[in-house]
Amino acid sequence: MTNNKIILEIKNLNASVANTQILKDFNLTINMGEKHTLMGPNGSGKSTLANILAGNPEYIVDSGEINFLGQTLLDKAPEIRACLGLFLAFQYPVELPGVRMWQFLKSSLDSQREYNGKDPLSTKDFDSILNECAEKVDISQDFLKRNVNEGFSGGEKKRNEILQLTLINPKLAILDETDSGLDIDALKIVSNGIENFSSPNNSVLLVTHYQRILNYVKPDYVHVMIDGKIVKSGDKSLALELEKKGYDWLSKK
Amino acid sequence: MNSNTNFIDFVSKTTDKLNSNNDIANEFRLNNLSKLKQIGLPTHRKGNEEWKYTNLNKFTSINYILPVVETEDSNLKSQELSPKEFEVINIINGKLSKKNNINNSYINIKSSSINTLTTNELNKFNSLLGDKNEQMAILNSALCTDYIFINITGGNVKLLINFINSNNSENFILSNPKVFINIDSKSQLELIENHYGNKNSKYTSNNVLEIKINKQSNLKHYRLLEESENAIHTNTTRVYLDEKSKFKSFAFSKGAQMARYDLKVSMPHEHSEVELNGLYCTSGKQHLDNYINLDHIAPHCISRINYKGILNGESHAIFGGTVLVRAGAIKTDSRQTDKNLVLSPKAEIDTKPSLFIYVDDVIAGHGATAGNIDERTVYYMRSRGLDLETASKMLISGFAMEIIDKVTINELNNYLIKTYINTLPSYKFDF
Repeated sequence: MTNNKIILEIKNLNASVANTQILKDFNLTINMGEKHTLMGPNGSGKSTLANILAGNPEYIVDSGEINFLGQTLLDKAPEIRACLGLFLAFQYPVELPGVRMWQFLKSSLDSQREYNGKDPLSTKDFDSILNECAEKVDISQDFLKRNVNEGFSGGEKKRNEILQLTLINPKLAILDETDSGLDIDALKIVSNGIENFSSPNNSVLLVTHYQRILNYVKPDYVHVMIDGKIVKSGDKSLALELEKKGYDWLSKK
Repeated sequence: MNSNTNFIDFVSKTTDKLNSNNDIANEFRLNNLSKLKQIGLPTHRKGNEEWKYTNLNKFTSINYILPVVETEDSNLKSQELSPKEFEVINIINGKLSKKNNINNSYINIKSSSINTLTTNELNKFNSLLGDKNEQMAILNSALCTDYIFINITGGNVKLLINFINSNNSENFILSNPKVFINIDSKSQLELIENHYGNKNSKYTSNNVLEIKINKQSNLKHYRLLEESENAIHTNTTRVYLDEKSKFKSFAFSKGAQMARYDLKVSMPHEHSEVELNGLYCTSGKQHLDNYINLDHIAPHCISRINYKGILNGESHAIFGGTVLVRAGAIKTDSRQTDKNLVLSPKAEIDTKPSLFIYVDDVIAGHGATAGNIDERTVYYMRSRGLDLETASKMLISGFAMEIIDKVTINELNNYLIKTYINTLPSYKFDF
């Protein structure tokens, strides 16, 4: 699967939230075509990393470097990062009162196309792509007429993130605990969405607490993050080991 | 104080000038004048909660003339809003236009001048004007020259009333439109009340509307405030609901330099339903005051108040909502909210939903919010490739669309999108 082209390179990243240092000399490299899983206990800094990658203005980077497809990332606005091909599926997707799904998705896609020198899609073309994507993640037409995430159940919000992933088709998908709070059917839909998206021409960084989703999504690498840095990396057998032993044996080292 | 005294002088002189051979009208006018002299116009003095945030000095300090009698004006702004199947009535500076052409036999319209007004006609207003302290309505009665009666006798009627203000002179005119609408039992009325005037035209319009919704009738009421940017607009609307009647209203406000809307709804009979929606968008130095008074008297009635505001520039908006649930009004179900987006640090919103309950067995709630655009929400949208301006515009228009979406008349819906949504500002972020 791997073709050795570096898609994401994080070097010695230090970052803080509200004056507390969360990431400590964090390093990670992801090649094109790879699926990485980042696991770790609560408070280890997984979500901080995901948010820093997407450009959340609430997070402050103290030092370090991030390169994405050969460009520096940290000086770029969140919308530019999105246009370059970076996508974050949110842990807590936000409700947009009064903003219709269709309008939001079409504007997002058109905005990214425009940045990349492409014409906006015609309504007809967009509709046919959207319908195709919606079908893949089991989202009904009715759902597309509603306001973004407003009144959605937890599972619907997560499925909506996967719909956006499928529609936008980015180069790098970062999924921030997309699996938490899902029942088994929703977990299967979400996992299928990730597996269907994954190809030799893109990469996945799956941030999760639990081994459960790895029954459906097969990662190439599993990293364990504790106290702001990766303490152990391996293949998917590492996840099974964590399931048996927990995180304690790694944090005590 | 001075401007107030001068203004009452003006009213007094004008009332004299309006004297005619019709003693009924003369007496009515003089009674209202003496009431006005006694109690004066509303002040925003401490203790007057209803007028706490609106100072009428701007209204009273102007040297007015009364509108000229010749009202058919060829320079009137062309009518942009003309929904299909709607009958149209023009009321120009408070006078019913002679050019109205109504084809629907369920609509009866009559205009009585102060020369022809009868006791019977006058009582139609008196019966509903119970509150002696409605100073703006009293002022209207002291100066009004034309009483317009609209009777809906059945069917499913669609009616657009244009309240047009036209003034080509340099002096401010003061018009006092007065309209009584009666909706007979088992009738449906969709009413658009459209207030507008020529651009830059100088006028003050002090309106009174009284609406009686009889048994098992429905009124859907759309009020559009599109007055010119120099205009001052005041409006006292009283709505009376009979048994099993329904009143659904939308108040869209964006015009006038200063406006006050007093909507008073009375529910003295069982099983009536009221839904009051509002959207006010203010900018520049505008001052828009919405004041609702909803009176639950009888049991088993439902009311909803859902107002929203978008404030910009140095504007000031006010929402006051008073819901009264009286001792006899058991099983009342009442909710009230006012939500505001304050887009500029110099804009000000004063929102005060209040609820007075004198009975146990009811469901009632109220709430208000004011804030600017949430940064987390914007971040979510930016992470999908939308820039700040696009994201903020989408959120602001989404906020307004929650009200506009409820409008079921296609042409009006499109008109509101064009005049409200497409002209909305974007938000200036400080990051």
